[in-house]
Amino acid sequence: MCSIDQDVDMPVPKSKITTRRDLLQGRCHKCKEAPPVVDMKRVQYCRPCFIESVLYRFKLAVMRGSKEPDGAKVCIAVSGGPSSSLLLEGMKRFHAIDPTNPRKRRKFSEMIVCYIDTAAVLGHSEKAVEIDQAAKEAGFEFFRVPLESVFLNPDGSDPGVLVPQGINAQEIIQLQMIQQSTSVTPAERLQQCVHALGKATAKEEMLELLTWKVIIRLAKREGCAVVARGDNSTRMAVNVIAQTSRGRGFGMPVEMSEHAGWYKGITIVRPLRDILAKEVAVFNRFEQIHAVLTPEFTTGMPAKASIDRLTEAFVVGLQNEFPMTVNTVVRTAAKVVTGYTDEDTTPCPLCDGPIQKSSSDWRARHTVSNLAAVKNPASTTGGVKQKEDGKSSPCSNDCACSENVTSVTVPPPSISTSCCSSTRASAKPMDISPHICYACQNLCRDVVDTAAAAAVTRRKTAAPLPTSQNPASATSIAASIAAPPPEQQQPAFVLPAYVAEAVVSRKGRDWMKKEIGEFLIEDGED
Amino acid sequence: MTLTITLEFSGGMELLFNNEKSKQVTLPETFTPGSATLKELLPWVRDNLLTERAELFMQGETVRPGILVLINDADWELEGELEYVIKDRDTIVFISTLHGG
Ligand SMILES: [Zn+2]
Ligand SMILES: [Zn+2]
Repeated sequence: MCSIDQDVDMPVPKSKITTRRDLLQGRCHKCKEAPPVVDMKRVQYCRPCFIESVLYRFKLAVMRGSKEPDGAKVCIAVSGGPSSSLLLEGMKRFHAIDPTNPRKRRKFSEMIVCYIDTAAVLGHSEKAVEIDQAAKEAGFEFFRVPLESVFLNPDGSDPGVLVPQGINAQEIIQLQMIQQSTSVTPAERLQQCVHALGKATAKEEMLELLTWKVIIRLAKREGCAVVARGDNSTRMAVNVIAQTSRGRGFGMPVEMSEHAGWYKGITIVRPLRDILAKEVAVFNRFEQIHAVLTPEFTTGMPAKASIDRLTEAFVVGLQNEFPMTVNTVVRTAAKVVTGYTDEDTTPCPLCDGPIQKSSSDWRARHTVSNLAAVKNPASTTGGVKQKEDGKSSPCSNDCACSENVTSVTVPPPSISTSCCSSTRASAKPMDISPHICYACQNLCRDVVDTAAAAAVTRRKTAAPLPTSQNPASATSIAASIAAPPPEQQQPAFVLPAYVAEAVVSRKGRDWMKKEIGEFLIEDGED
Repeated sequence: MTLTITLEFSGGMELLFNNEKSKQVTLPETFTPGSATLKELLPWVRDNLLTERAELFMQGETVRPGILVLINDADWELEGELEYVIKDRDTIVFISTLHGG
């Protein structure tokens, strides 16, 4: 069985073919000779057979995942974790010249390694040096891209940053963002963007989607038709559940299927998709592949720290009892069809994932998002004593991104003196919320919740606020927004400018569609 | 006679052990050569070597799911897990396979 084509450099001897089908107790299930050293519940391997099996599955996933003609350039995305170390090693072996057939053409023309440096938010910049070393040893060109570069244009020029002019989450979330130039460094923008989010889940999600954006950008810039990612099967099973619970179910085929075809001109391959996290650990140990440990927000935190960690604990615990768990989840999810490939499905300006048509309408009709309007936020965040007659004038001492802006339309920029930033507004604010996907709307809601919680805490500690006579009126809100910002301010939420550009270009397309719409013949018409 | 073994921690496990990746330890007299098992070793490691967050190392009397244990480079699941009888000069490796370390 499991014969390996000779264009993978195999350091292990080929296993002897045996006709005995029965599995012997205390023998490797594959070669049926050596004593096993790895137990995968349904199958036990000796060391050479285990290594061979992992590399075989690796190669199979690469071959099946990248259907384009030979000669493509590959971008290997690494994080420094054990899986990406195995990914790098596996790709190196895959790309190596076959010693028995040196004239055989390679599948891929060239490989580069890309590492997105999250040091600006997570620290540990020196890890890049070690990954650099590993990439050099593999003979691949290495790109270390700081994550904050996502706040710049692909050509390195500075597009400014999107700052909120008004966010509310009373009915449907509104994200009035305005693009303005800023003297804040890209690294500080990234910190603002991530730290304005409260929950670890939201921080992780934002980091993930920005990282992916940077990877795709680099791959395009370097002319790579293939991006290889190090998700192992355990990780993929965790993703299925975590992504779905975060509202990313519609984009699941993009995450899971072997040929998603979502990113134009770029194929995503996941060579470890049939290799369990445990197998990654054993392989790296046996083959002495050194992983650089990269910290995450939740590293060392208890399982409940984020949806991701909670889901991981759930999946791993289940896998312990039912060894087919991961396999079943991954294989089932890979078969999910959501119609995301429809011609008119547009990418989300923030995460680039597919947007389910009219997801914001759906949300408005089906979800309870005005909970904050029903409950007093103070009472939900820990029983802050507040006089009822005070009614906590909306935002009288806060910027517009705080809570309690009861479904107002944001005042024109001429009235407001840009509450969240001292720099001058240079464009019209636009509500990006109807344009982003459902999950990204959820993600951005976290900013509102966090600001609300922080405002309550501030109020608790600060002197009593002057109460407004007419809190709901637009004028008082405008006045409150125009009021000078409080001394101690929440890190204001910012988004990279690319989001606005994507919205504008899409709006342009919609506008054109509308303009020429009457001249189009719809399906179903005669 | 005492048992001297090597313990190794990786995949993020080392973060719980003062960032030490490898440690040679001589087990106290309470570990009788020939009968002391991993069942006794795990709580001893937790109480004497672990520097933080015991709940990330053990769950009940065994290791937390997602932590791989290798005894002399063989899967402990093939070696009787908790019932494995510790031998002098054994190398026991704990590897976290969890994403968050
Ligand atoms: Zn074998
Ligand atoms: Zn999105």
